[in-house]
Amino acid sequence: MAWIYLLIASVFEVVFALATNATDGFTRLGPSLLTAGAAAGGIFFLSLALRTLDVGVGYTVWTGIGSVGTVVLGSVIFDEPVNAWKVLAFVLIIGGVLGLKVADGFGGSGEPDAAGADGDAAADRRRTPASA
Amino acid sequence: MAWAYLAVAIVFEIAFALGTNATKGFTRLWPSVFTLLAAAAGIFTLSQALKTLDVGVGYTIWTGIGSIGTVVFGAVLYKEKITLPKVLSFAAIIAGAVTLKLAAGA
Repeated sequence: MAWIYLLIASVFEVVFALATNATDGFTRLGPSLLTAGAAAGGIFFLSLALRTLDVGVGYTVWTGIGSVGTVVLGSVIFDEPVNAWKVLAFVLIIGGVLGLKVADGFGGSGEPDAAGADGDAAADRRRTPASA
Repeated sequence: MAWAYLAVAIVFEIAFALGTNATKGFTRLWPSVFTLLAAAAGIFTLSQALKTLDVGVGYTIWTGIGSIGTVVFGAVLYKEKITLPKVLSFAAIIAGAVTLKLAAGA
């Protein structure tokens, strides 16, 4: 579930990144309100994801997917062509995100199989640091 | 001046990420207040930097250095494990973000 929250937070982050650019240093009301709302949504869902995920993993995935989404949406909005470098960048970022997902699973956090009754493996681990 | 704003924004961003981790889903008051203030200050200073910097440059550097800082301080403050697969994954994501910026600017 933490990774679902993280994906939702990433969508908010894309909206936030595109809207921030339109605020002109927060001198325009509409984009400023959209930016603040998207930021609040993104931060809230990130905080839910971080209840079980490491902050380093959660933050990096959040902004990595945010970067990909921002460029993709920016390309659509501004009709920019997708070149080989952008594809390479997407492969690196998405590969890294999947790598962290796999490392998270095999590292003993976030796997339902290893979780306690509440399904919260990382929290279980944090509650019993002495057992390591 | 834009780069000074960006540097300040990065410090706020790292404080925000670490603060978010401490809110436990915004169920704890003071970490939540700290997190929201850091987020607001980070976004404001970033927007000041973006008045002259390109958004791709500003945002990429902001989150790239923010990511490195978050991983390092997460390990120091919250005892998060840094393993080789994680380091390779972090490196791939950050390299991808920088490549994305260079590709978009070309």
